[in-house]
Amino acid sequence: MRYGLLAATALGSMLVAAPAMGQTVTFWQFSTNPNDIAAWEEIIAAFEAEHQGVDVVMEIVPWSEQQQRLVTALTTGGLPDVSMLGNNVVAQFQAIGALAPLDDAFAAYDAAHGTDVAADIWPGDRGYYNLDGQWWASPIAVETRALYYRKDLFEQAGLDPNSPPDTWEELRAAAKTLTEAAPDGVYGIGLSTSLDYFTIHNFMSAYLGYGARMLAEDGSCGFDTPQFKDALAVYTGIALDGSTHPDAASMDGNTFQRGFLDGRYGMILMHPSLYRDLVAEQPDWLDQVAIAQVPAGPDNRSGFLGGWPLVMWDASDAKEAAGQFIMFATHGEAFKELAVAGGFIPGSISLAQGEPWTEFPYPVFVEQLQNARPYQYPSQAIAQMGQLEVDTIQKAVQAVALGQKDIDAATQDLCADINTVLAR
Amino acid sequence: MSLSSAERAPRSPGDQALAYALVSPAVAVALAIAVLPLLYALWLSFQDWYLLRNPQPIWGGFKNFSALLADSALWSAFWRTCVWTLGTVAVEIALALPLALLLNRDSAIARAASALILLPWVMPFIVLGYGWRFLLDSEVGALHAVLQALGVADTSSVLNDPNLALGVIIFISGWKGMPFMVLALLAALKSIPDELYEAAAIDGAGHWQRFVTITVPLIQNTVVIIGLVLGILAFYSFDLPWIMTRGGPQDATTILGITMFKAVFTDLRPAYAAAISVVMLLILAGAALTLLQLRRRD
Repeated sequence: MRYGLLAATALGSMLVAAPAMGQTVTFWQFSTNPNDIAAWEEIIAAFEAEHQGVDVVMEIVPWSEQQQRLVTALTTGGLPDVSMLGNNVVAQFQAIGALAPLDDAFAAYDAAHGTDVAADIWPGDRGYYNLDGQWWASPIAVETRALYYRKDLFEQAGLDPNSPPDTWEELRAAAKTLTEAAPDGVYGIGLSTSLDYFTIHNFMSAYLGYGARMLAEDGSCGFDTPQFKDALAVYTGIALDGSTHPDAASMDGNTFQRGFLDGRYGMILMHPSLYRDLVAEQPDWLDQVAIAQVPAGPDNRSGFLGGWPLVMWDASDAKEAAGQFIMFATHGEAFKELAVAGGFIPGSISLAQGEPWTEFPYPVFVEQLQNARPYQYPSQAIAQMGQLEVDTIQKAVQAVALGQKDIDAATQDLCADINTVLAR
Repeated sequence: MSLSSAERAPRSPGDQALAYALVSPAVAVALAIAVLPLLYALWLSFQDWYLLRNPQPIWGGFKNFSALLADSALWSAFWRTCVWTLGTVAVEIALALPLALLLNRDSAIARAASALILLPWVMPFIVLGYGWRFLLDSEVGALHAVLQALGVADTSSVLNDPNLALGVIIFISGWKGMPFMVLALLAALKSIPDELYEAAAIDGAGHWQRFVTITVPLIQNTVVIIGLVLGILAFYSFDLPWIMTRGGPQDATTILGITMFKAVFTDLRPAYAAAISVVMLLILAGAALTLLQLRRRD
């Protein structure tokens, strides 16, 4: 048995370490942050040093352009061998048949390193990346949101700084109190109601927490329920109360994040890298920032489950080398340095349980991840999610927040739109 | 002057072949950059290509066109695009005509101003889009403060108002295109002989009468032709409303260019987007030909 294992390990090592002669792996990387780019360049240099004959060519494709570039390449040719991808659209490109499965790469890596990479993936991510019994992506980062709040502004408003809002109703009330007590131009919370991803990233915590479900058992829209309407009412109520920026219906997440850094909001639901930016900018009130879990609804506490993996495109003619690069870049020490530089939580559970993710502010996010769920929870990932999150749910939120529709009309129209997309 | 007999003599086949050979590269380039993409779009519009169902295009006949006829959101965007196009051209004419009349002077200031007036035309959409967003920002925007004082805007930016956003962006679109119209009108104004105005003045015509009876008829053709060109550009717009509002709030500024963009990149329906573009082309060609026919009849 032992000799069998040794033989398998040796074979795996040979497969992993075997030089793929004269191959080029094209890699589309979506971050434009100079620290991230430098970290990726180090990973690539380390990979090329270990894999003689393989040349990894990184191209920066900004997140804001990646969907256009990928769809254009998909329809006219020119896809890379490897790219990053949003976790919610892995199912979309897998359904198209554009991705290549990574099971062989997983197995080869496990054989060489004695690991079980599949078991090390966060439970929520498994639903995104394991489709039809196969692995289609290897996670880089997993992301959730927690509630940043300013204890000094809480005290000024007469709120208990050691008791942050625990439910969405409490969040709405606290945002209103903070706004009323704050000077002009400072608002209770940075919360968007625009057609921007920041809206759905926050609002999904509300509707899942209220027990609403995107998909009914028959696969059609499941939002036309009292639970969803209550969630929509409490979320948009924050904007209608005037407790967020008056232009919230057209502002994006980056603008809100900049506003929090500038001291414009008492609270914001944001990812861990905001704390990295706070430390870098050192505002006077940095020691007054505290972080709590996302508010709960009457049914449960649900965090946003974001993240981005590496995928291999089926059009690749360097699949073996591409698979090796994906596994190298999403595991091990070089990957840990990338995660530290990027200020994100790694998609590997075992890595996230070690330093520096045991230090503030990460533990609250790691704990939050236990309750982080996909938009369509508890249903399986669906290929149409990319369409639904952009043009249906956010539009319903905006309509109510702008007073264009009441809750019932917005919900009915939302379900009509979702069912139209699902029926195509 | 008449042509000599040698010049009128029929060309030899060799000369004719040489002429065709010389123009053939230009014809090939024109085919490659204009006709072939058009034919591809036409072919694509008859395919069934929803990427989530058919990774490769298959023949779909008139499927996209029948879906297009039943798509109420698309027709809302179409009528919005008509308002956008006519509004843009109207703003361009309204801003350009007085400016052209003011600049129709042979002075150093007029020449300098003529050059400066080109600024909106040469400014990239991304720069002016964000510039106007800043001006209309509810907290720091100077223009927002003016609009608020006039009672047009409340605490939120007008770009968040579904009833005002389209009008505001139409104005900005017209402002952006105005310099082209100014230059064309200036050229037309400078071509009007001074004698006409002098004769009219001797006959007792006032400034307004001279403007209505001499200037307007003589610049009318320029206004129609340049208005048609700018109208076609406006009909195919995408950049400005996308940068400023992404088609929102709700669908208030969603024009056909944005609808087509979303059909391809959000809905993954390139063949449907091609069908929209074919219909747009036919509508625009029909409208342009009708306008030119009416113009000739006049």
